[in-house]
Amino acid sequence: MRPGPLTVLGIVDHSIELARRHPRFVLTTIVAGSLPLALGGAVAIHLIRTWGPDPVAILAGAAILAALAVPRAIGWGAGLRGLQAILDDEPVDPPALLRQALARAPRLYAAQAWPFMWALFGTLLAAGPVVIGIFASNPQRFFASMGLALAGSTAGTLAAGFVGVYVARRVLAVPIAATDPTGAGSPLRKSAELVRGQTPRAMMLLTCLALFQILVWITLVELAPWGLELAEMLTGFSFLELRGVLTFRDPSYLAFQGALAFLAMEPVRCLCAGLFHSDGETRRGGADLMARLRRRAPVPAGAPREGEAAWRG
Amino acid sequence: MAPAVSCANHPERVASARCPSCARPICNECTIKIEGINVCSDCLRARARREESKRRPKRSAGRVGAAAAVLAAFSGLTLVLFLYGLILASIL
Repeated sequence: MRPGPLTVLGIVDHSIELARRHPRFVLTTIVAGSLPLALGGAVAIHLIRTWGPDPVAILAGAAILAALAVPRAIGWGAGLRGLQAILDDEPVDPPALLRQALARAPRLYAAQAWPFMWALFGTLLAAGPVVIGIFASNPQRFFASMGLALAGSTAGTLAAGFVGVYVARRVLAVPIAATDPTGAGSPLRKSAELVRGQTPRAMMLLTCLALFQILVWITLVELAPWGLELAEMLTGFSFLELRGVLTFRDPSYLAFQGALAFLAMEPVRCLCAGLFHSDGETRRGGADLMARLRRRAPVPAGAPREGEAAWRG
Repeated sequence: MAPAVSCANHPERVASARCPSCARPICNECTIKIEGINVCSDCLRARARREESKRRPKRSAGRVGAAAAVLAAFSGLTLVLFLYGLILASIL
């Protein structure tokens, strides 16, 4: 059943509930599709750390990771088509959904990879000037160095704002690419048109998901050391060597936990995008209905018509 | 009084109009009103064929556009991931 108009947190809540209620569908479509990219990213960080900086190898790895975004787009496509079926109370068949998404793979990839690229590039654009500003600031020459620090943070904030708006307005691109007829024009352009009145809501949704992702990652990073400590207390065995590896000081451990957190959040992200799309349709439908009702509302006999009251005095 | 002209498709019927495209006389049954103008079915078919042929190059242009979008997304993503890789390599 389609829910009524939802708030941003309502969308996140509803998507978690849907993922909890349909675990097989979520695992076989969204999570399975995103698994190669998540693992690939973690392995890439581990290899960079162990092999050292080789630009050719890094470029090859980057191309492989960009290609691994294809199964992710297909998984999302299947997930979003499945969400439509769930909302319409129709049966969900993951293999059939994956086949349908595969037929739309180029459209889905372009709709997902382009905003993803801008989100990553935007993070660099925002972080770069801020880091330069922090390094440039000198407490001993506070006023002299303050200018560059301020300029850096302002530039970073502006970059983050612009990229945030750009990415937020493309949040519906994948749901549109997954569900709209194939010859209906660019999903990125259509998403920008549909989100126009709801950009703050879309930005809030993306911020919520990003914060949620960080929380899940920190929890997972801390979970293993806590678990080992508890196991030491309960069993009396020493896990000192393992605790030395499973620590937040180890970049590879952080990367693999990051991959796990990314995978854990993928169903929520995907279903949130689908629900935001469906919510927009509900709201637009409601607004249209209200306008139609207002136009058709019968005027009681003797009551002044619109604009007539002032004339009558 | 001018003699009654028969329909080009139905000689037994009297023509009620003349197709503005091919100027052939047509009866009521053969007349199709499109965009406020009465045309004959043959002209309408020819027009539909022309529209279809006009649309075809657009479809191929759409395919080229989609391929360009995929290529742009892939190369952009590769470039950004490469930048991330270089930064991580210098930090780690």
